[in-house]
Amino acid sequence: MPSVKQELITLLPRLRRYAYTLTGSRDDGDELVQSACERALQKGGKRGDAPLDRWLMRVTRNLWVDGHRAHARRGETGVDADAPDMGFDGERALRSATMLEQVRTHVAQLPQAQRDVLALVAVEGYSYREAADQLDIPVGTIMSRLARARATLADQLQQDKRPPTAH
Amino acid sequence: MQAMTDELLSAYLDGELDAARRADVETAIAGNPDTARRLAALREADELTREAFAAPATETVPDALLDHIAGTQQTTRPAWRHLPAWLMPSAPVPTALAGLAAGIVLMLILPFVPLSGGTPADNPEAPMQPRPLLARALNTTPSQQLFSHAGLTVAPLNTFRTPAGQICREYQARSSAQGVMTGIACRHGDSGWHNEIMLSLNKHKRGFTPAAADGGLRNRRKAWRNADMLSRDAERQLLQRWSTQGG
Repeated sequence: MPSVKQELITLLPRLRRYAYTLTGSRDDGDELVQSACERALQKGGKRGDAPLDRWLMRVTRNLWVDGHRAHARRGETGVDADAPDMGFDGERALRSATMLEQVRTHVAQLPQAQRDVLALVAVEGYSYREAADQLDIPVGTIMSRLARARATLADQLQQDKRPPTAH
Repeated sequence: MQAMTDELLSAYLDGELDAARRADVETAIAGNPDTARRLAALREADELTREAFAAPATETVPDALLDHIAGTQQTTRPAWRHLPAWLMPSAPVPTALAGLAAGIVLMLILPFVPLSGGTPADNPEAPMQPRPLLARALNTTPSQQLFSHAGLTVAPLNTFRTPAGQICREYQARSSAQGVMTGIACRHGDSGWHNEIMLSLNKHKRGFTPAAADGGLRNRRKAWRNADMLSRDAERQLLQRWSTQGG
């Protein structure tokens, strides 16, 4: 049986993606992943029956939400404004880096509750049921938050496409 | 037919609708260009979102992160899984110590835990002396194994050498009277084991300690990582010596 640490390392790519979606920043995301892994390793086998990936995501999200509250208390926005250093490969460049950058900005501006659901379902591919269990909210709430998040993003993307001035 | 809400279209994209509602949506898309456009817009938002955050999942994980995780692992015990459930603490000691440094779990410290056989009233300056049974357990029982005698069960978790060269053992103990506690005892030369720290795990809440971005916490963890975890072989040799000389 692989150790928790070995399993954890195989999950790091997904965990980093999840943290990136939550935080909107590569650096903050990695810092969050690091804290979450630390926490998880020190909790040993304390996760009960939960699959390691979902348990780690829960740890990650809890840390993020806690940190976020701390930010809010200090009157900071919590929205990371740094420009992520993106390295796109050829395939990824199908859509322009600029457009994806806009998407990240829009996602970062969504309410935390919507971003939570978007990260789990739209990015990580969990079912509504799984996401509902993960976040301890009803499936109907998952459905409505996801729809609102996508609707907001779709509307903003439409606006982005309209050039502000004619060339 | 009901109006095609964003909610329905969004759930359609996720494959979360039952057959009947899926058919409704498909009929609506076929019959109404506005609905079809809306679905396309939502789909595009969805695909772009996935793409916007995809990079970390396909990249090599940075060495710094891997190194950090490798470092963290030294403070954990790999063999939790075959220990009984009560031995899976909500706060393994490194976390507890970190909390101590941060002043988080001070209230959990039991200054005169009856597990210690010393009498603080007689000599308040004396370090807590574990009662003989605990000392015996620490002298004879390899890490990850159970010592059980007269209502006291002790599981040494690991053995380590502090930067100052002292040998210490992290353990958990359960007694019918005290419940479950965790502690670290260090050997003081010939005078045997002294408890450096003991925490009751009975009331400790499950869940995660707050993500206090506390410098003290990080420093404590760093210090902990500087302790040398002893190998099984090194530990066995020590146990042999201790069992013969007593403690």
